[in-house]
Amino acid sequence: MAVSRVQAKKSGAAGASSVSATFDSNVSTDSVVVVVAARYSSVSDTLAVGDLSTSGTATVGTWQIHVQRERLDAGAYYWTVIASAPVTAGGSLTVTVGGGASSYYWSESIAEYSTVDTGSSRCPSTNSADYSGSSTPSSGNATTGQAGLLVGIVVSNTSGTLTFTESGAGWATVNELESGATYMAFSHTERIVSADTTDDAAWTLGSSSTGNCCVAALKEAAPAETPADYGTPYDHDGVKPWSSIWRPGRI
Amino acid sequence: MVIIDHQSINWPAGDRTAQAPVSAAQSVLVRLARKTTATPGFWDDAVALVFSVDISDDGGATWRPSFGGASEGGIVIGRDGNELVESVFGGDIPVTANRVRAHLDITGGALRSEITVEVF
Repeated sequence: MAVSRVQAKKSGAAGASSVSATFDSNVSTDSVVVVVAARYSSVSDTLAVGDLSTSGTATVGTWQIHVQRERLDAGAYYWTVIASAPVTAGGSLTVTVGGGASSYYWSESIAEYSTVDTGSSRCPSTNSADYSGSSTPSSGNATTGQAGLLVGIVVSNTSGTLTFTESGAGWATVNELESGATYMAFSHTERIVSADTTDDAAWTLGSSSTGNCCVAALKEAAPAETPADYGTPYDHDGVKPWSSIWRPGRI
Repeated sequence: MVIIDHQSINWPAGDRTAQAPVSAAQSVLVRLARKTTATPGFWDDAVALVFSVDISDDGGATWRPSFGGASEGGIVIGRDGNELVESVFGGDIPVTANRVRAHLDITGGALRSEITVEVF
């Protein structure tokens, strides 16, 4: 069964030390929750695993920060990040991205996926890149190694409004916030693939801008094992046991 | 559409809410006026809050969180280099919601500010 997105949600904030988003429906056990986020601050301040927290009735396993990229531009720092955690018990779920100060600007997008590998090696490949004065940012390639999912995020250091259009076959927008005046203008995209794929997350922007972007590859979960067909059982001397040849109503 | 427009608040520490009906809204934006040189009486430095927009599908009988964040008081500088006039929290809500509320858990003293809520 292929990877599929179950639900997604976004939020943003300005003048805040953290931002949070709550899924509209309960998440399911063995799903994987992907968080992409962007943040603007006046000091260098990358994300740590401890800056990710959850609340609600669901529980998640250990967060993995797959890729993050911080950039100093025009006297300020901003970063993009992609992280994920497996859902260990289903229920309601709020994901908070914190660890900031009250002057920070934020954007957050969360997505629940089914049939993604919940193991610690679920992300085989990542990439990231800066762009300047460009309307066609690209993260560089990541490789899934098998069927799976590519997740992308791009952020712009604009204080105006910017449109994002995902580029490349198979890519789709999950969430975006276009207002750089209120939040960090960003786009969260995905590409679900049925075989080993190498690709970049890329966008066409409404105008040239400056920012950075990241991509992370996630593996599809291995199919559940089905009982093997060992044929008709025989007893220890090679004679079919009575139970295997008796049929009700055929005497 | 603005459903709460610069409503003055002077809420003591604790769990506080302000709610309003909505219809077929897809997103909500909440603005809280910050302390600035021009508004020194707003949002004292010692006051912190955890904020959420909660939604109800049953007219306010039951509530669940939708999005939010946290912030602390005092004068902060925005990305344009000027004092930040407001803290802003925005996010999506399900179109089934028929009532929204700003939910503030205030610590460190009373929160004096102005709250504006817009739905889209």
